[in-house]
Amino acid sequence: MANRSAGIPIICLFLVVLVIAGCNTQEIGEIEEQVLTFNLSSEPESIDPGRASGQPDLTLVNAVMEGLTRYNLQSEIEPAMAEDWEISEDGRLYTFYIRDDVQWSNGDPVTAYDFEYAWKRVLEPEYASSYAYQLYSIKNAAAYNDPENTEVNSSDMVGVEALNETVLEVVLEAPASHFLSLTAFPTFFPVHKGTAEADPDWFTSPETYVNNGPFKISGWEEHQRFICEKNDSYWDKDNVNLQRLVFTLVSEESTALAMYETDDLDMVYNIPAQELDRLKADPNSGLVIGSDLAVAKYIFNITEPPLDDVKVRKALAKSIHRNELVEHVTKAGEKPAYAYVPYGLPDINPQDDFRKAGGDYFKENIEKARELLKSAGFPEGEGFPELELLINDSQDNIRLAQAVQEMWKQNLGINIKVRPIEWRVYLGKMFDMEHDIAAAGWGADYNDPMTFLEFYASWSGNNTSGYSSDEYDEKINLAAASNDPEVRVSAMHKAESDLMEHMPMIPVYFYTQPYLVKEQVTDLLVTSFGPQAEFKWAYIEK
Amino acid sequence: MIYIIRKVASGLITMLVIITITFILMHAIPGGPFDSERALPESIINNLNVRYNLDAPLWEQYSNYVQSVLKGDLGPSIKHETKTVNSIIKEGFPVSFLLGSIVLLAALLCGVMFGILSALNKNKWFDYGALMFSTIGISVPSFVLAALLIYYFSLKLGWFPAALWDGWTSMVLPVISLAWLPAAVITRLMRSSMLEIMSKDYIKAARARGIPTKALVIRHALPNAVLPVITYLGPTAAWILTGSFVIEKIFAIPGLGQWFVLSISSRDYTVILGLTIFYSFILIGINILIDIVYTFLDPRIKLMGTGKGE
Repeated sequence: MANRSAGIPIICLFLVVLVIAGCNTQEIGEIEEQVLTFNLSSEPESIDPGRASGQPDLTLVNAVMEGLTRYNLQSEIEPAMAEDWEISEDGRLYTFYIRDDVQWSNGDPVTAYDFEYAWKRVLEPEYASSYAYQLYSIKNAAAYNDPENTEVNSSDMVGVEALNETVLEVVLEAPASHFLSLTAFPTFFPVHKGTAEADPDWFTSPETYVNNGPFKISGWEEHQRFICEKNDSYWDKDNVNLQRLVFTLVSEESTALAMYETDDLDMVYNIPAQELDRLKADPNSGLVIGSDLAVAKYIFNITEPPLDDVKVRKALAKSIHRNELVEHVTKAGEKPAYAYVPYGLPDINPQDDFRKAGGDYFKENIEKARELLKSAGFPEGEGFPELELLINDSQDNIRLAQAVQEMWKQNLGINIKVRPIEWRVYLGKMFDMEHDIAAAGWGADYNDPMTFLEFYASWSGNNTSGYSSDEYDEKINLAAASNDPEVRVSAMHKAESDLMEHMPMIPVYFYTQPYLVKEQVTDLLVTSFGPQAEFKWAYIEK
Repeated sequence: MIYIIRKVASGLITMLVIITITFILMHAIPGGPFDSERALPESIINNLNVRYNLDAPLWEQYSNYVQSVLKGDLGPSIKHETKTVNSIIKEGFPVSFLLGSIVLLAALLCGVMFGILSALNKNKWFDYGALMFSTIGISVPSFVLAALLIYYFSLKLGWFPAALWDGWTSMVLPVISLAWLPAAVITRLMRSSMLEIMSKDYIKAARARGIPTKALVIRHALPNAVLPVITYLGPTAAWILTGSFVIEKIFAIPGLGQWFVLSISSRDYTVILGLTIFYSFILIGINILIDIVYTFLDPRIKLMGTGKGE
């Protein structure tokens, strides 16, 4: 027995020697000058462009693939795989001319056929892409994607066709001014037809991944990192300065921050809110408060009393001290929101800002709020039922909700119960309209105010307020169908005015994107929708 | 032999019960794998459900699933389409196992050594010192310890990397974070069990015969004193070897623990089920193994025909 027991430590020791000997001691090679390390936060779910959906997926795919267009450093659309395009007068026919000198990483030319194949592949019901709806502005795309629609049963009926190797023709259902910006989105990226047809799992390893973007994947370690190298067969390789781009997959925010501070990362997003004060106080921290196209709001369920009364909704809107929230709770330089559409979206003249042109629609006014509540039948909050504020259970959301709860109690004398629940349970409850008030955020899908305003159309699946107005729908329809910027934008301003008059939700603040970036990193574009950043032109300043 | 067969059979039945309960609970919790803040058109949800066979009735999904599990196929991940559950286990388990083995070994060596020394130095400074370290280990959660270790050893001193799995230097901090608690428990168990054994008559007799303390401890006291530690090691080993959810996330270790957390929050049904099955398999397997080891170490158990390990 004694011998047996004595054997245990020996076996354990042997085990340890074995495992340490077998440890993966692979280090990233010697630090080169033009290497950028960026934390992607989590493992991408798919890097097949047609199925890429989360931000890590989109960021990585955008670095290694390229569509017809790409956002440049000024956040403007510029030609990419397409060197030029024509748009018909009615705004429904787009003709793209693919460059002659563009090729896939396997040496084959990128052709218009690859685009046609890739887009139709996304729309095939069997392919089941969750982002297929991005292509729904194309003629018959939505119908073809729906297997129950028997009228459009062939991909030939979808409005995209390669006329030859370099000409791609796209017919839209209706004019869509943002269509060019969509073509820079990964769902619209081409796929090498021969590869995808021969090997359905082509995107699952760096060896079989055929790409056409500024970088190519050279290494992929599970839950660790993706290593990308400059793609020498990229058409614009002279403008690509980074030799290597390393995407780490560290999901814990505080760990990523520690890695940034120990120079293991050049850039991190998702900074823990409690660290912001410290980072702001340190001028060398590299903290940047980037702009964002997103709004934080409280959505009402206006189908039930007392929130079916617009006076109650306005009283709630006017009694939140937004400045206090952004200064003391969120702390990331957010702007208080007195309208719905965020800053940074184009007006009639694309150089003008839609938000600045539209201005504010309401102000905080406690006296007025109390009056409104009184006229709704709740003087000093008396008799007001205890409503539930549904939130996703992150610490930041809870802090914010508690602050708002306190403001409503102090200013209006009403009690709101904060109910934090797990993300997917929260989504289910909100979409089933089992909420009184739900805290939510909404970010742009594309560079146009419509990405926010169509949310409250009566047919929108995202409209979880119960708001339904023919006048509002008409304005949205007018803006969607028109090709005239003046008609479109003024219809959208009027729609926003309607929305703020009826207040099916209250805007609270416009988000920012705080991130940390090392001083020597130059020309890195941080984007507000789709990928987190554009790396094509980035370089490390010596 | 019959004892072992009986143990294995009851283990298999337990696993089937676990699969069934997990399957039911998983589908009972609100939310599905394709939920997102953007309401997807119904046709897209339908297409996705058809692709992953989630449109079939639940009993049919269950029966298909059990059949494929019997063939050793745990199915594809619904959320990570480059993965199957088998590949996730194949890639993640060795990492968790490696980390867990080192943690177990470190905990066992430190715990047994400190426990014996504490017992031999009862109520002296070493004993009090070990008590203090064990109390810290038991009361400070591993994630707090991890944060402190990263702060001092990565950020301030720069001795070890803060995260990622790149060679032995990256193992030091997670191993300390994970090993402290079991080492503390083992120290306490070992100390009290040694004190008890050392007061037994046969030890006194051996001491009277002039056997030196070192030999007395190693040959006569240790084999008996280590029994409670082995009982504790069963579930602890299963817990540690299959990956620590929180520590793997904090240190970005590519083990199984991260996948498990991720699969639940993203409602990745096949991964939740597959990993639960795998965890149960390990847990039940280790418990059976401990029961068997116990019968070798303590013949009385064999006579009684029941295990203490569970």
